[in-house]
Amino acid sequence: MPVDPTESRRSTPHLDRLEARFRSASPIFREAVSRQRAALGEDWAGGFDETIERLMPADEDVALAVDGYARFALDVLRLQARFDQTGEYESRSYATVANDVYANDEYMRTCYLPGLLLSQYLWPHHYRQAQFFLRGFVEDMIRAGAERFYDVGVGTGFYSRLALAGAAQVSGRGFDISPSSRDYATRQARAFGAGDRYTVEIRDVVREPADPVDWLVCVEVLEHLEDPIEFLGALRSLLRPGGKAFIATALNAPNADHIYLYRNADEVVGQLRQAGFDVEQYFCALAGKPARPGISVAEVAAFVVT
Amino acid sequence: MLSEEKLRAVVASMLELDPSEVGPDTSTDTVDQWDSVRHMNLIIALEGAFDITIPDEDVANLTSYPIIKAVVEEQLASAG
Repeated sequence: MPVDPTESRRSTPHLDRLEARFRSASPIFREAVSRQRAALGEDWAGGFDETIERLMPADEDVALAVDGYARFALDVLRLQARFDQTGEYESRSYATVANDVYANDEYMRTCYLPGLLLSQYLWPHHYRQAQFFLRGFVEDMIRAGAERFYDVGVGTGFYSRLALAGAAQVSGRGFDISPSSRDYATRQARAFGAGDRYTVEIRDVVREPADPVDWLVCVEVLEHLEDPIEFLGALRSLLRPGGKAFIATALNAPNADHIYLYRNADEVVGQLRQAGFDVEQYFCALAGKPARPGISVAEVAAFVVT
Repeated sequence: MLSEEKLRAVVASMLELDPSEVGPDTSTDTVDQWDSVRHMNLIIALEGAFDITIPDEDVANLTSYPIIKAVVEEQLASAG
């Protein structure tokens, strides 16, 4: 949706708290909120404000999130600069990442999860991908009267929450390998009044498959794996014939836990087809314009597949 | 031994300032264009110019010229 420049400014007291914290504690990010508000509009501001109100009601919660985001975002910027030099992600095995990141509760709670959650609003490509999810997937869930969905690799639980809040009749079951993610996603669903329709299990669906469902969500998991094709095969068997899945990944986007490098969306499409999916819709968005020629820019690529 | 002239030149270049403008009062409070991208470019430029590594836990805290100077001096000393 285009931003209407005449749209009146909404009251966003919780977003204002977040912006004030950025200005006082992380001044290099002082324009992060106002810049995105101008670009993405008042619906963005209202959604972000509600997220902060429900998940970060106390000033200490906002302080933790801002500090975590600053670490998270600076780490990404540093890795992106190294990526420009090498053209590769810093090679690490899944076992190492799982130990250093997903099982590191202090890092997950204080940096990774709050950083990732704020990025859903502060990074325009993340926000636009979520809008595509709502329009291209959740609206179909609502129309079809979807009863249940799986979210494989819940992360912060942001996409589970969008599905639960959008489709009021649906129940969700999340899978993740990180207890920190399980707890964060559960808290998010409860904060949005959907705790009774949502559970998260510690489960690797490649090794422990679940019964297939009609609706499947898997956002930014593929790039965290050494072998996405094996994982996509497992995802395919979680989806009933005639079912629909939303699968998203990151391209040229170094992060502390990104292992598999996709350089373009065609590589993802090839793997999706190899796993037996048909692509119905797709969406790609860059993080922004390059600071100068030759500098890489991270990108998201999201697919609605059957 | 840290060359302050070199340090001021690096900071000035990355923050789009004249080297004569860089001094004890230079900080994120006084330089409007000091944003996250310029900040990380500055960190990388400092590491390259002085052949040091700035620890991840210090990166977010380098918000003024005096702090930058202290951290660069510390890293040069520890590099031996």
